[in-house]
Amino acid sequence: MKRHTTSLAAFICFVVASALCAGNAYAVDFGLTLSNDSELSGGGGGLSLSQVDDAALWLSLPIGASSSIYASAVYEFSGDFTYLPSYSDSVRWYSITAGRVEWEGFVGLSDSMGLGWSVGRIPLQDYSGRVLNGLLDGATVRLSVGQAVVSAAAAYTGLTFKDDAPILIDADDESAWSDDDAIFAPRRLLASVGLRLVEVVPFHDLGLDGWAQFDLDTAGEAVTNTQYAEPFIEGRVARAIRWRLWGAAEFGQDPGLFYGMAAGARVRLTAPELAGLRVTASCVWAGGDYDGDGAMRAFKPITAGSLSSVAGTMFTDALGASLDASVVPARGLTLGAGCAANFRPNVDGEPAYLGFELTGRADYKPAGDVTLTVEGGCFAPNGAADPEASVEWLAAASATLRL
Amino acid sequence: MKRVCASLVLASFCVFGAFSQSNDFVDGLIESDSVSVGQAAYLVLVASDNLGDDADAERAFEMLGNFGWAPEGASADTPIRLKDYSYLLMSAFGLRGGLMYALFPGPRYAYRQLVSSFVIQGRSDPDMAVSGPAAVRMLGRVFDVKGIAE
Repeated sequence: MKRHTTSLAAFICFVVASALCAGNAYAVDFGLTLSNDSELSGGGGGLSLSQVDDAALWLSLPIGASSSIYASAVYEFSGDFTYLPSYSDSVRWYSITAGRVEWEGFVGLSDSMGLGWSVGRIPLQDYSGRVLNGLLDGATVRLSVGQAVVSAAAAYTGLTFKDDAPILIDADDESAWSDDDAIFAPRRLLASVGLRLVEVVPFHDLGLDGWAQFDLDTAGEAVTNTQYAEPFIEGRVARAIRWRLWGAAEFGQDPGLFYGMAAGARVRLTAPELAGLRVTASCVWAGGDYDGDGAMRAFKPITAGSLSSVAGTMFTDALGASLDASVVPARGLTLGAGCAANFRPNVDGEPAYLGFELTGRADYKPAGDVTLTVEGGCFAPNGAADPEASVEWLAAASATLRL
Repeated sequence: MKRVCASLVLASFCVFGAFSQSNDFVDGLIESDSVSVGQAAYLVLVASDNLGDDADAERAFEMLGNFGWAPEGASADTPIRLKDYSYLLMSAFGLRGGLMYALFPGPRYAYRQLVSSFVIQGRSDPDMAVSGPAAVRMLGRVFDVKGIAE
């Protein structure tokens, strides 16, 4: 049994106390969100269950007319139970940590200028969500001037549970990830600047995101700093069709210089008049180590992510193409299905095709405070690429109640 | 600002197109920074056909008490809070709430319901006062929500 608490609970108390001292106690809204996630998975003679239950106590209060504070603390039970080939379990009876803790606001500086900010444990992500995506301790500011939006952010990862911020950039990160005694994510300082030009081309936005991570763990075997430049364009070409295209160049020092590449594209058709039909086709690619001992390496995002939901293919040295569709046949009910193919482009002549995945999903929201979801899927691997791989499947159910 | 005014006028047409209320009342309401319980009661009860438009705010407040929807300890002149106005709208129009509203009908979960159904938009808290334009806009959105539900 592991017992985890973080000093961020104290930070929440500080935020709450500050807000109360500011005389806003009368305006506090608060609540409790309960959720359950159960995931049964199997493949290759294995069968396992992953169970996560959490309770998030939250409060929200305005600070003046232009900002507000949201704070939440999360209790979580989690367990992984393996039934086949032999029984074993790994149970974390409780962890208590800060959920989203945020002071956010926006002030208009003039008719065409506005300043927004967000400070605390806040959701941070790059444009595509493929370089960085997580709830991290930091701050962002956004200055909008006419059609331009300039943003900057800074964050620290060392107070976040490693499961919540999977950082797998170098060998130290890999060993920390597999070390059961390591609770928190590797200590990294993150910084970003961004620019978005809104509709400089009719119906299209252009932009550039820049992110950097600095390795603060100088005691390890490697000190790896990386920077990412991510240009993007998005817009619509007809009333029902939206598209986006992005690329990311990674530059790193460990202390030798290296680089990596990634890119993605998405086209989405939306037809509200056809039972809320939404069809999305997307393709993402993360480059590999194509030049042997050269400077190019497999693309490593700041926070690791997977290419698809059943297969465990990570977003590094991989290519994925997917097609998803969803409809809303009845009020509160959304049905969706998707398929995806994963590849590993390489220069070694090995089979690039890794496998094919099918998924299905149903979301039902019978009331504003209740959400039920069931989903399932299977992944059929390419036996030529991995002779030992077998069909993997997954069935999951989740429920959320907001008190 | 133009967009706000246009929205207000549109909402007013939506709301006042569905029923007729005295021009004096409407003028006073639109200029009000803080709607009273009596004004809110008149606005909502007339709009929901629970009260004739020849009544006044005092009579509307009395009706509110009869229905059991009056905020606890409030008088007709007390500024209404957003959660109480939400409960009044939910009750008068018979809107279906969430699970918690079904179990514990009251201002707290009425406010939550109207936030989740986008009747309440922007920065808000359940204890804030309700301005006249905001009250009218919310009423207009309730007509939209009710139309979708039906």
